[in-house]
Amino acid sequence: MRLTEYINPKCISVDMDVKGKDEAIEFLVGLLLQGGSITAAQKEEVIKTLKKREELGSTGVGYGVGIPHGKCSSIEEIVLAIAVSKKGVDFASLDGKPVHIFFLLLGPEGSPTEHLKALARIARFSKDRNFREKILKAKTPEEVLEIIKERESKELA
Amino acid sequence: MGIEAGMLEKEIRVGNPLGLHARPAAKFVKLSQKLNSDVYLEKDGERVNGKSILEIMMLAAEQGDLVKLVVDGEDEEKAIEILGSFLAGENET
Repeated sequence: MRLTEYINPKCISVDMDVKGKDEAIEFLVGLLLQGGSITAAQKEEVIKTLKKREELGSTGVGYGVGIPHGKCSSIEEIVLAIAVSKKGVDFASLDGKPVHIFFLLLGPEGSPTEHLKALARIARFSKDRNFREKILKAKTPEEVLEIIKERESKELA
Repeated sequence: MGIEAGMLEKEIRVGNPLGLHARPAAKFVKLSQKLNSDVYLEKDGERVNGKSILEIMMLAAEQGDLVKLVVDGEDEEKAIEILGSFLAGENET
């Protein structure tokens, strides 16, 4: 499994400017739509799934990272969106701190293995301070993708 | 106090049908943070801090996977009881 296989640079933003959890989720889903990873018809279902998930407990996991995720029956394979907010978003994180880096992970129903592995890899990268600092400094979506590629090849080496 | 009590270990098969993804990991962390003992989880030889949600997610533990719960501290017996039954539990949430 490679995360980078699931990432389309069109679904990455380095200048997210939103307030609060709902806006953050809508922005991220907007990126998926813009990159063609989901269709307009899927948008509402996806937003609903993610918001429902957040109601059960924030996916703001600390370290300034948020990993909103969920599964939808109309999704065929894992899709990702990534957004960086320079000023941070109040995401009701577990440590109470604003979120600066979002990884949105959406997967199909079933196949928990791929989903867990993808989440695990995002978690592992997010724990890496050097990785987070690089992502925060990235100026373009391509740069973000490059940083993830580099980190992932280190992981698989 | 932890030193004189030694530490406790228990191997457990993950019961959650969806594995230890973010939500059960968060619940586990909520439980473990209330305990005074140090809490660790091990899978395939990798040991992580049981009080960090990100570290638990890193294990990608699925239903049926064998994980080792290691607790060390004054309330370790209570810890192994509470955390052990949570891990083995089949409750999807």
